[in-house]
Amino acid sequence: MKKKGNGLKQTTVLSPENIKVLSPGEIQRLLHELQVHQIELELQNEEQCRAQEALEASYARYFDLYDQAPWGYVVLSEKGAILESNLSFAALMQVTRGRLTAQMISRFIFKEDQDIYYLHRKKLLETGAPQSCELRMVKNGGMVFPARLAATVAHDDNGIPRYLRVMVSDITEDKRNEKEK
Amino acid sequence: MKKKNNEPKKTSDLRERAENAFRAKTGAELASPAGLTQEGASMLLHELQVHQIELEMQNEELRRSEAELETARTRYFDLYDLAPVGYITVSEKGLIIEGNLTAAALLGVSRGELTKQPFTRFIAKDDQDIYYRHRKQLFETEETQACELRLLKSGGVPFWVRLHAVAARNDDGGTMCRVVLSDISDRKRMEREREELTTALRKKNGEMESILYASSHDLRTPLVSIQGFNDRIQKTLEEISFVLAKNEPAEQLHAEIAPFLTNDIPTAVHHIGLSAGKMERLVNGILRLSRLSCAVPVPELLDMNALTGRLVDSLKFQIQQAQATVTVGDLPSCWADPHELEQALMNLLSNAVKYRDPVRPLAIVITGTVKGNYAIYAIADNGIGIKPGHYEQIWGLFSRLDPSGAVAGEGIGLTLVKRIIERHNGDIRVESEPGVGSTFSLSLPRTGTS
Repeated sequence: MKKKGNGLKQTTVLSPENIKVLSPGEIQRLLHELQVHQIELELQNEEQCRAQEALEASYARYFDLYDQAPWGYVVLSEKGAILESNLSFAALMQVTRGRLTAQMISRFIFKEDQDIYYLHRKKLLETGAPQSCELRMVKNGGMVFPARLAATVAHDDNGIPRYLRVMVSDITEDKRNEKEK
Repeated sequence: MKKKNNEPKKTSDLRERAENAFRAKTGAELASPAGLTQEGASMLLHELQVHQIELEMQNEELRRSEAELETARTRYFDLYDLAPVGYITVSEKGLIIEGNLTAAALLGVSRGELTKQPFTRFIAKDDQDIYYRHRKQLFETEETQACELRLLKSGGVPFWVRLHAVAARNDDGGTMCRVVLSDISDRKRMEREREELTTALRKKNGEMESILYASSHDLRTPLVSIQGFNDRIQKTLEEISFVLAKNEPAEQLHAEIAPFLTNDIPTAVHHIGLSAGKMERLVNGILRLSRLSCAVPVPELLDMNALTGRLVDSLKFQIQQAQATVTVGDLPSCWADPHELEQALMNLLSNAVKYRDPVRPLAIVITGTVKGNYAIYAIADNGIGIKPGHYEQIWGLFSRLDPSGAVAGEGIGLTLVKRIIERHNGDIRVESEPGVGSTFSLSLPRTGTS
């Protein structure tokens, strides 16, 4: 971030010996300068605090939207390690959030459905287009449930996949309704 | 994003405001340098300079944390904005407060066109009620709610989405809801295709069943005549033999005809009789099976103790013949059609008699337990048993484990049993050990609606 060159003078501290040799006029000018500069800094400080508050509110807003989304939300590395997960996902999997980080997502996918996930991820990385699939997942404690995954991939400036955004929803109800039809 | 305050153009403005503030303060709080001693002035200058450095450091710190915060905010804004599903926030009054990029793309509008719009504007007319109920339920229960409805793309083209919503509080303590929109057009299309297929299949199945019924019915008539004429050939043969013997023809002729009469023809007649008999049982079996598919079971609360008692009574002769013992425990009642269940139990019991092990007297034990809403019955015998690899095979139509025909059977009995149990929403499985015996376990619902 730009800090220098913002028009404010950099302060050089004068030692009391150096001050002694200054003329009263120079001292007066210097004092004025310093006092004004001080106020300048204080004002700038206040503004920064205000900007920070606004930024904080905005951050909290989007963090909340992410964290308490109606769907589970995980950010995965290209290889499938959980980089981050929201509260809904942790609740869905019945795991504390801290224990999710760095785990492989495949750990939470039902053994017989690993292939579905593999193909889903492959297609996602190959096409770069949003993908969705349905598979069974396993909660902490072993309970199996049907889930719907929707995923997109985030690329860096060179077009190299940086991470995957995956949203997970429990579709037990859908499946039950489907069966009843 | 909001511009920060360290842009050069704002600096002069800042300087001006500082000068103004300084002028307002001068004389009041700030010491006038004129009244200071040389010593005092240098002290003041020094202090001011140090304070200024403090402020500069503080400023620096603020900028750094602001930069960090901004990175984090951008991160979560991106996660929100570029989420794999549409995501909107709707106010208590039903206006869209904010929508992400995915939602805007889904609805075919720009993000700006979403804001402050009533969400219902994007819902297909026929599905407004679904949304109304969904919303009502969401605010009443405050639990995650889901529903499926059609939204309208900008041009008015409807498409299917699934809505997932949670209620949340906004800053003023009011209620709003966060709604995730996922496009399920693909799934809906597949569902429709599957429904069409199922309907077609059901129709085909119905046709098949009527063909099966008709053909087995029609097959019976020629079969009866084959059997009848076969009997007649047999009788004619006897007569010819009798006449030939009586008339004492030439030795030569007798010798030539005799082997046909006494050997070839009777053997053929015997085989025709066996095959026709077998065919009759098969046709009868198919007929029973297709009658079962046509008939609708009429379930009732069934006293299984009485039913089993009657059944064992009616099999008394076979049981005595096989020198078997049948032990029946106390059986819970279940919800089933009495005729069909009697048929199923009859088949299981006669199988037990048929496949008994000649090395020991047959013992059949029937027991029952209750498990939740199900009555479980076990029919255990000490017969020849079934190899584990054949467990699945036994239920198949015309499937026989011993095709040599040592035991008479058509491979229909267990198929019929399984059909009967399954159409009662029950389940049947077998456990067996060759040379030890088999146990068939039936589970049937204990209650139902008539």
